[in-house]
Amino acid sequence: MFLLGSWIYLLAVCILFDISDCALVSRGTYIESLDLKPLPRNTLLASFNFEIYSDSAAENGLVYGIDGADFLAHYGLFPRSVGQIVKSTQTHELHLRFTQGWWDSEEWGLLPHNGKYTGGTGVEVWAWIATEQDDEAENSWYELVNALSGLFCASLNFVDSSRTTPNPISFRPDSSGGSSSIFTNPTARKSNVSSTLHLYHGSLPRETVCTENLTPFLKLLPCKGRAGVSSLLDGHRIFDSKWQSMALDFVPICDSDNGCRLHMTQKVDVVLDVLRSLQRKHSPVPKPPPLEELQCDTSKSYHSESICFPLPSPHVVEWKLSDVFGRKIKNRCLLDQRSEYDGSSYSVCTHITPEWHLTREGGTVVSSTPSKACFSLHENDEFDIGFLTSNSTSVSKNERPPVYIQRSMTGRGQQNGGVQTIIHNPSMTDTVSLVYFESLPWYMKPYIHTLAAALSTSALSPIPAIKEEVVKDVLYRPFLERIRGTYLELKLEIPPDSRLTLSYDFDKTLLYLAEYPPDANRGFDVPPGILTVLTKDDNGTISYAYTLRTSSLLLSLPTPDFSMPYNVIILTSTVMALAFGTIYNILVRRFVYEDDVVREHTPLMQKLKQRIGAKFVLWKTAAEGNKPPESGKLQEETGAKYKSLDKKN
Amino acid sequence: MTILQSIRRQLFGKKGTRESLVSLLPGLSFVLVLAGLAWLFVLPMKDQSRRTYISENALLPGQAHTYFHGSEEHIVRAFKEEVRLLKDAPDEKRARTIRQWLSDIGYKSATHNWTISHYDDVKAGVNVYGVLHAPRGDTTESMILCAPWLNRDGALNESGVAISIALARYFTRWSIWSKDIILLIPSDTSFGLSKWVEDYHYTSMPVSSGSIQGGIVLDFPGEGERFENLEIFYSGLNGQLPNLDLINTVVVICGHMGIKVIVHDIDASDDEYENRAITLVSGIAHQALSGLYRPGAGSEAFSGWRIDSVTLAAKTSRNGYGPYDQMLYGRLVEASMRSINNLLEHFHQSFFFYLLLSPHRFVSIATYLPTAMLIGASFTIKGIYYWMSSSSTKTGKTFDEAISAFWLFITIVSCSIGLFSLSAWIPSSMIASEVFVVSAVTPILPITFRLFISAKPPSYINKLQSYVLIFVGLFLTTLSTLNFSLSLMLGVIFAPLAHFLTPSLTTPPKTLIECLERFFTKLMSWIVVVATCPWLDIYLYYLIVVKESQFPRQLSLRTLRIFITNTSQNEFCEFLSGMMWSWRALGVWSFVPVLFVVWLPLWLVSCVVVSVRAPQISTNLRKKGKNRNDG
Repeated sequence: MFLLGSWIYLLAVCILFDISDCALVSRGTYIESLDLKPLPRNTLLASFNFEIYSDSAAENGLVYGIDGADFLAHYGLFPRSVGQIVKSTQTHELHLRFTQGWWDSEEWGLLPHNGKYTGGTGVEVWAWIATEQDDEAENSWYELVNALSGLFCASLNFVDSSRTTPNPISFRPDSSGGSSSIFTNPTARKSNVSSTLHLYHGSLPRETVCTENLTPFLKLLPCKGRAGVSSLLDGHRIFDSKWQSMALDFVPICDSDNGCRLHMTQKVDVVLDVLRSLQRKHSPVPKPPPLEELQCDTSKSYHSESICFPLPSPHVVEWKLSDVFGRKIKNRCLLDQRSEYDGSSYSVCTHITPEWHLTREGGTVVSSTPSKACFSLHENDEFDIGFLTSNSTSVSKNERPPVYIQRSMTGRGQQNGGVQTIIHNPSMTDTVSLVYFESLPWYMKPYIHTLAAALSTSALSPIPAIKEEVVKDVLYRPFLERIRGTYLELKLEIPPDSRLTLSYDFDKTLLYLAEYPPDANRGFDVPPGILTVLTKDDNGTISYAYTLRTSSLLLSLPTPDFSMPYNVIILTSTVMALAFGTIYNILVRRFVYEDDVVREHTPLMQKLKQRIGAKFVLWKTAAEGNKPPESGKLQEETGAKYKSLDKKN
Repeated sequence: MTILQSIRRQLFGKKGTRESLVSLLPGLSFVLVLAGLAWLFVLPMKDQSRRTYISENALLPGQAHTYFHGSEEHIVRAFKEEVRLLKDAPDEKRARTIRQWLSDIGYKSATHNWTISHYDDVKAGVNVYGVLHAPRGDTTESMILCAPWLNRDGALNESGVAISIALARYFTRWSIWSKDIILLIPSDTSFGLSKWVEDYHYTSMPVSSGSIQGGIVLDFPGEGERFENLEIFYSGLNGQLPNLDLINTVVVICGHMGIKVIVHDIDASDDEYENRAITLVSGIAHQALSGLYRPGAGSEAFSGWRIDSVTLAAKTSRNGYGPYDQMLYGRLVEASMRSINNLLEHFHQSFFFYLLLSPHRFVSIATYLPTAMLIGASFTIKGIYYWMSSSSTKTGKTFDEAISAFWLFITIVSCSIGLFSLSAWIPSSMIASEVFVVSAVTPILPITFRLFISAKPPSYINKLQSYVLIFVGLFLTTLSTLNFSLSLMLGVIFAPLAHFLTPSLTTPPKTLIECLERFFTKLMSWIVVVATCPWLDIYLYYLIVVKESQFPRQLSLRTLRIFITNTSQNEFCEFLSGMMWSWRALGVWSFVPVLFVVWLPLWLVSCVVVSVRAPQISTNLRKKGKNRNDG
């Protein structure tokens, strides 16, 4: 209590005076930057980068087991919401990805940051949990995803055991410490047993990434998207892009001198269609352009006033950053300490070719070369860049990716199917070695014995490759129905200039009624496959050079008509009622032969008379007083029947 | 249980009831056929059919504004000029040019060379296609916009291709697409298109997309810019139909745009019974025979792959005038694509089994199924009748007869299957000669059988008939749930074989009337057998339906003779090999295999029945039954 009070006092002092002068509070470091890169076909790749470093964490209280009161000191810039989740779940390292769209590898080349900060479609999360016991780690993992689900408004809580893959080799921790952890359990520390790291991976391919995910994402930033480069992040424009990816990485950095520091990276990468964004300025709907604005190929013989062969996408383009993002960069995030971090002071960089001309509004030019220009932002200033070129096809091209991948479903019908993955190594000289990771939902039942590999060079048709030549290793854990999915990881080596076609067959499952999700007829999404390219340096250490993902697949399972259960209930009830009636009848009735029963052939009228007479007698007796009814005759008749039966027996 | 027991006791406890009941069966069977046919005529009544409605709310047909107009028309015209320039270009050049356009527009494009061959009969072509990756989409789902280079009549789909490319270009400006758009320009509507669909699902295509949710096939031939009305083709292969919602969507959009829609070439209002009946019959004919020998409208190539598609054919008049212009057609396609794009789930809400009576009216499976079922059941009942009547004769050898008749039946069926495999295996050029040989041999069959079987007791023949009729009955009732139209059609063709066949009697006729009666029944049997001969029927179908345009308007022996002699035999051969190709390449199992495996055995058995002399047990039986009842 006393401790808490003293900290509140300190904080109050800090707020009263200038925050930056308050040396007592460790705040950490924050840097942000924006890289703009025009891509072919009038598209623009914008990469936002935000990084927060805490001051040494191990001493300041993130060490597991020290009183929580110390924590307050720690959260200068580092978001408390993340810190608390990470701490309570003993997460050593956390990676969270929100991706939407399709990255056009052929046109756009390498993924930004070599695919390190890109996820599969939807939401993907993986984390290393530091505990001693496996089950403890697994519980922590579910706790973690549930907490993240609340924090980022994503359905991460649906990552259950069937969507979790433990310890795939496609991932490695970014933290330098390897297996050593910033979390050291006090009891463990005493007994000198360090806890081990458990990796869990989960993905939700069906999750739609939207503004509701962006808002909490921006809230974690020190300037909350109100100043600096993050002020450009407007949901309307970000989600109107061709491709976008948001990443949050939490990694501890440990070294022997300073102890451990926490590092949180947030990245937003967007590919925007410039022409579409420009068109939005005039009209939200793509009305046909006026005649005078049509760009026609006048060289065509039939060209006339009413016939116009359109020219390909225009090469002369002029646009501003504010046209594309709908707003200018407001202010500078004052907490951005890049100058303290690495001495430079840029915030926005453009990567262009000499055929582009830039105009600037606000800010200062920090450095400028024909291929790259960097700008810094000013306080109380609006910043905008204009791009002008006469040849928009000339862009500083991204490098060609080391592999291309394409995955698709094969087969027809609702009973079984196949998956076909084509991995293409475009290099003419180098063999590519890679790890391909697939996790399949349990209702997709693959047959691994059907796993086939066929190699083809660019000229020849596919020849069945000797599997061992290409597939170096297969890591496989079969599914358990309703408990866990299939885990399949392949180590592959693809010779230069060739295509590898991997294929396997699978069976489809009929689910229980309650297991069908809403909109079941859409099909079930199968998470993207993850391909990691490995490189070996001279020392023989293997590093993960490039990561890319396939698109997710749509698996259509046999889906019932959901009004059917009602019909089934009705039908079953009817059948039950009928069966019960008949069986009950058979059980309680006595059967006799027709001939054995002496049937009285009483005429109908007489029978009626008797009945009415009996009723009448009853009425009469009831009216006279409560005398017992005399139905002697009827009783006698039945008695006679039984008598005759008895005789027979 | 007790009810059943008491019924059984009531009926069979008394002697003679069984026979009298059995003797009722032929009448019942015949009544069922009549009832089935009568039910068919009930269907087009207004009270029996329902108005169509949009079942899937997500479709929102006609709710979106369409903007494909104004300066876009200039672009459509330019592409039309380009298509015209490519009219006589070789396949490769055409594919290359179109591919270039698609890449310029921003589509990932590729060509698809396809070849299918059977000995020296090679069919080949080049398809072009391009994929527009949906902004923010993940290539998980896609929809298809298909404009075959040649339409179902083999005419250049000039406006169709031009509009589809202009539309594809226009679509890139929208960011609303939730599914990828595949623009496909196949070389034709049958093999090229179906091969593309097959390869898309089985092999590695250079450019690929996700699972295809729905498709629109554009068919707008000719140079004209205007059209008279819109014709919807929807039949799939093997009796499969697209979801009714898709057709409704198009019809509703047409209603919004004021376009007149017609179904299967029947241009008439749905107020009259007659028009509805004609549309129904035409729908049945299309469903039963789709994909059989001539290129379909295009949409049928997608059936069987869980892709719902319709062909929107703009009917042009000869002089090129019409109330609607090509941009309206484009906007219709745009609005339809918008509706498919709205879908969250695969088409599933509405009917998959229906018959359209007009664009706005339909009968659902529950209403129309009794027709085919009743007719199918009549065969089973007749088969049961033959079985029961033959087993009632107390020769003591019933079991042996049943077995040996069964072997004959199996032999006939296996021979038919063998013949089918042979037809599928031999080169296309030999099919005509095979049919010729087979049809020449078939008249000999009865004589052979007569030699073989005349020694057998008559119940043997009845057993044989019983097997084949029960087989046909089971087959037709099963088929009716898959391909109602074919089942109905076959049922109607087969019905005379079940009801108007009488074996020759060994006993000499006693009176003149009996002699005449026998003569006429015999004549009837032979007429029925000849009329239901599969080869003859196919030839007649060819003459009357396929060569309809040349069929003489004034029927006389002379005109018919001229017509038949003028019909070139080569074309008939092509027709036959086309039927084989439909099985081989398109997988239409619902005609040629059915012809060989069901029709031929039934007909052969009928031949046997007619040609063999046997005492007429059925009448004897009836008399016996009556006598017993009286006693």
